[in-house]
Amino acid sequence: MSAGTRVLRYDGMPVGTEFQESEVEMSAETLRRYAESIDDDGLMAEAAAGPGTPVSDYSVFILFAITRHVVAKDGEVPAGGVLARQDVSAVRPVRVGDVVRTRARVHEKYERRGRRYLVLRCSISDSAGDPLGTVDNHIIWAR
Amino acid sequence: MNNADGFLITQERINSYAEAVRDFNPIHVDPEFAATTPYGRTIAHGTISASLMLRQVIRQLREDRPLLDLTVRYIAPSRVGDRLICEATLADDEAVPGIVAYDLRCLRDDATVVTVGRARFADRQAGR
Repeated sequence: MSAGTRVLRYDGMPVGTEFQESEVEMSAETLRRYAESIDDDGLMAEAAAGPGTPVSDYSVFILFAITRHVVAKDGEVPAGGVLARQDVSAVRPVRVGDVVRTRARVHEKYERRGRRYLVLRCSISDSAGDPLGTVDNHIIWAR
Repeated sequence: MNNADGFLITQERINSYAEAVRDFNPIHVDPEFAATTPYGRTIAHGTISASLMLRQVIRQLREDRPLLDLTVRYIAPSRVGDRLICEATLADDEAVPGIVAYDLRCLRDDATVVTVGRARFADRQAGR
């Protein structure tokens, strides 16, 4: 898709639609803030251990698969949508200091009980392009 | 096993999590907007419960095998004032040899199930 700030419409994103790559640094500060918000002392210790430390908790992958960020270069997600399900597949842990790249793609669309779902597959890799894992976001798209 | 004390949802915690994950969806952080939605007020990011469930396995059960995958279904919202309690139990129906699986549940203190999931880990002893 091309750059822009338009609101992304469900009908305008067929399966296979790809979004421009986004980037997040897994800095010690980012990890510390995340650990604080969920009261996780173990993650706090990993943040304090500094660059190169593997992050044991794969829930941090969620940080790299926030829908509105991974599509942000192509458009805005309408407010009111809800995340219904996530499927996380792990290859290896992210390390403190890694610059993480996410490439998102519309993997599937379906309707259930009058709700329109869009499955956004987020492929996550490090700055060298080596895969870290994938996250599939099943989103109930706002009407 | 469960974390009996629970995790109290406050607007401050929601805001803190929003900043950490950079997700400022107004349904979480804007009470005026949230009042116009079917929820009637702000709700916590569902992913908070996923984080808490996985933490339960890693920290409380001291599971240190490599995670293969995690599936999470967000069923009900958690709201300010709710206390979330997470449970993790060893799954006895995992059919793949060399994989250890846990069934995960996160409940509000009114017993409503908020999130369910399954986390699968590679069992090193099985040579995976």
